[in-house]
Amino acid sequence: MNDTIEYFIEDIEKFLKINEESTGEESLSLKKLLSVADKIKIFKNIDLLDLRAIVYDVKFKRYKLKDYIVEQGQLKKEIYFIIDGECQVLFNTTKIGTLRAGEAFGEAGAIFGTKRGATVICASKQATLLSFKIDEENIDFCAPAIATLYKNLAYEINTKLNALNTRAATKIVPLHPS
Amino acid sequence: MDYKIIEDEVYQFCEEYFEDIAILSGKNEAFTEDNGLYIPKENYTILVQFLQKNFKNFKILDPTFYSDTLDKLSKDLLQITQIHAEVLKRSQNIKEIFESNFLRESPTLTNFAKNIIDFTQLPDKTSDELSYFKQIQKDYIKLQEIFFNIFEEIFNDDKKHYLSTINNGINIKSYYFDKLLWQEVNLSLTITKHFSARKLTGKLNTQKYILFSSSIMRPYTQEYEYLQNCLKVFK
Repeated sequence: MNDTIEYFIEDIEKFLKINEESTGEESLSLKKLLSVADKIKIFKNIDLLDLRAIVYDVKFKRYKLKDYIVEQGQLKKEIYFIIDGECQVLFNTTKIGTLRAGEAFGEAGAIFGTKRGATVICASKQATLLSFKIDEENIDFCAPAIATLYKNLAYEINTKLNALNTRAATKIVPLHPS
Repeated sequence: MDYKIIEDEVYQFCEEYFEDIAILSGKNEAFTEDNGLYIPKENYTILVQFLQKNFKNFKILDPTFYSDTLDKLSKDLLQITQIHAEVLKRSQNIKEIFESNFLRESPTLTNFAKNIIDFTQLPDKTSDELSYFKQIQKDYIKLQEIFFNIFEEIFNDDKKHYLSTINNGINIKSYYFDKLLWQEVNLSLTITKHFSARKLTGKLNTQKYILFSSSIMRPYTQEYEYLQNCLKVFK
């Protein structure tokens, strides 16, 4: 077997400097995410310390008008929170909704690992979003937080289903009595 | 047959078989923990080929482009990826390893085989002795099967563990290689001017560079596909 390469203190210092620079960038976006956590429904009842442990790859993202943020059919892990601007939701090129500042999207696809159910594009001149991922591999340490997250997500999906059912029910024309 | 005896023999064999890898993976783990290195969640191992190739190219582009740390990372990655590939190759055929290596080294099985050989050399065997001999031959085959099942499980577990820790080491070092390489590139006036003349400006990194190079490449070639896979690290 070959000799192992020996790293000196100056090499390690370079690695640690990279760590500092990376965490520096992420800490600003993470701070922002934690400050708006109460507006993100899937984070309800999750302690901020636990939240810090289960989210990662937190980034600010800026989009221009008509930029694609999420594409229908893609398999991605990001969840988005709109800081400012507006987005349009499209299903098979048909507009089905608008998302505004303070709203989040992409949770179900990211957490269940399913393909994106719709396309989201930037509908304002400019939009600033926070994107982040959930670290489900940290489950040993953060199992209660992950469990709460899933419960919140199930609640959101149930709420949407109820809304859909209500809408569908109001469109059903009752049969005439014979 | 006491299964513990079988397991002990298999563990002993695997310990010797994977000894060099165990040392390397132990060193990698200790290196990461002792120095508080970042363990990326993304798979940076795919970038190794890209980083090594461009490290060489940048040194040609700018003869003063040099970093002791980058040199070490480059050599280290070359060694670890070679070792990973070697271990993967040599441990692929478990049946062959069991038959060619383990059978010769297992005390239980070699003693059993020796007894069978000794018995065959005895003259004037009675019919009872011959029936008994057939029975112990069948028992020997069954024992080999039991050994092989346990061997396969333990060997695969050990192999998976060691390959995974080495792969983790490759991932961590690739991450730092990537970050440091572009740090040095962005400090090189020669290299940045070279790219700026080709309309690639601003702070350079792997993602930007791949997007730039693949935009002027013929799509669906092997290289193009490889670079598209590299881009997934940053998505």
